[in-house]
Amino acid sequence: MTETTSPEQLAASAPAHLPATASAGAPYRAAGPAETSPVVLRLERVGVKYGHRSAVDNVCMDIYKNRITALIGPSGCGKSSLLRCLNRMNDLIPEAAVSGRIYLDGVDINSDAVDPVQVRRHVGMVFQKPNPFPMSVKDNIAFGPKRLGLGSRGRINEIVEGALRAATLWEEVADKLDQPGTALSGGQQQRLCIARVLAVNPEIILMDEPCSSLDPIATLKIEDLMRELVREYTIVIVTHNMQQAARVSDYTAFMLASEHGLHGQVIEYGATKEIFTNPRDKRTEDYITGRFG
Amino acid sequence: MTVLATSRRHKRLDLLQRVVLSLTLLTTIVICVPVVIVSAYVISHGASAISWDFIFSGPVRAGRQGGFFPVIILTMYALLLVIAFAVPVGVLCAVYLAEYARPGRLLRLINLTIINLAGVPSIVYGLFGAALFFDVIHTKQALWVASATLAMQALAIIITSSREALLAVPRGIREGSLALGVSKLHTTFFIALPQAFPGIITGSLLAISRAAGETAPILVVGAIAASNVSLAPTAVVGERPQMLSYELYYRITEGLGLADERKWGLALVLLAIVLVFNMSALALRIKIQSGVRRN
Repeated sequence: MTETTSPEQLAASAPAHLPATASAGAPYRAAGPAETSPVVLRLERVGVKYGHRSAVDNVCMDIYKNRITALIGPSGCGKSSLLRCLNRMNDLIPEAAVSGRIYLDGVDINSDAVDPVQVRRHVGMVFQKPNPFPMSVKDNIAFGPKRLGLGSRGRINEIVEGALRAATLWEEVADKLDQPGTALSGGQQQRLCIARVLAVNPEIILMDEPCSSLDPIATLKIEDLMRELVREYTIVIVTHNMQQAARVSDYTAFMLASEHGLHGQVIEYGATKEIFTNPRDKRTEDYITGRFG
Repeated sequence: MTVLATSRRHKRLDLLQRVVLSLTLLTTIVICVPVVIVSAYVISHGASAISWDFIFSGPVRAGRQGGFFPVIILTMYALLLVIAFAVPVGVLCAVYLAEYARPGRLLRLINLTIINLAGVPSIVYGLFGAALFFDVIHTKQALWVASATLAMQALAIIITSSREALLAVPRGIREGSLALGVSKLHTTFFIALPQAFPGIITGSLLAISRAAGETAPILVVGAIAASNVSLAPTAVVGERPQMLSYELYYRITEGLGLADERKWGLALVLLAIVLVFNMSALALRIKIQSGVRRN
């Protein structure tokens, strides 16, 4: 697995144009006329089922390049399930079945011709609980590039430093590179996990409640980091914290499960400012203003 | 009544807690004491027999004098062969069962069967090994046959403990690796297996230690081998040595006057060999763990 497929190669293996059907679906196009950034991920009628339980139902969304898109909503509304579709992490759960289509740069990532390993190579993920490998700080970062054959030892040392700098962790760990990653503080561990993803240079970074186990100061650091990173990357974040979505994201999708935590759906999707100041749907308004329930 | 006042119910619970605690402590002591007594007994009776010659020279006058070097070296040799046969096969099998096999009824049945294999009487393994290797494969290498037979028996424990160790690796770190676009194969071998090493080593050690003391399979293989083939590569170990466990059995049952202290000495050597394997596994485990933490 040393050779990696570029998005262009991925695109070459399937029809490169985006299907016109979804782009006409106005409700799911979050951007106003001012948005100049291209669509990098297009979700068409995406659903997730765990056995007979439907967790996510009929989600259509466009996700824009170099923007932060937040998925918010109450527990059990299917935010994380939806996020895990975007890099085929749901493949790892035997009873999970994903329906609908997800186009990454125009390629259906669920098609038979696409290897999920290649999808994850382009769509990295940061998890709720910091999960550094039980190795040194340096090896945590070097693991991905080494296994993917991204370069010689010298090149990998450069990648390690670059990734740690990009994750604003370098200053704090420059003299601790040989110490175990698990010995860092929670916030540092999470930035280590972000640096680990940056080291393999994906296009999109998915973040599943990345700050839920962190204190407010560590949380702010991660949020600042996200604003930095979005210049180079596209970020999709799941968060419980509405203030966080309001602070960091450009676009927000509000999700809600219909009943008994089934059929999670996107109720409203739009520019974050719009969603928080002028929601169109009553349910969004109730949730945002804390009148939910 | 204030919140802090102790009710009668609380006092009863407190008493119960003390009783249960005492019971657990008592059983632990009951288990540990015999181990200490047996070890002390073997050492006190056998230590006087141990000398340079006892370990490093060959037998004189059918073992009444001289030493048991051939037996000892053969035992070490056989145990290394058991490790070489059983550990790689067992670990690879565990990797398949834990990481790749499709969960379901068939997998549960296979797992259960493997656990049950650990309970098959060792003499059955001996008969099976002898039948398989002498009658079907027609080998004449009794040492290899004995080692392979012991390895078959060790496999069940190695597979089961390695599988458990792999399943205990947190899902989070596997997902962390997969989310980088690292393949499942690399994730298994570079993330999951190193994490599972301590458990794998402990399980393998248990299995190998047991193989060291196993007598019945050696008895069967040896008895069948003795009738038509020589039991060992004579170039290395002289004529007709046995594995230590069997030698000890033979010396105890033969009734020909081998001094008691020499028998105890043999038992002590067997104990020491198992201890040596234990210690090296422990050292390996510590080295790997510190490596996992630091590297």
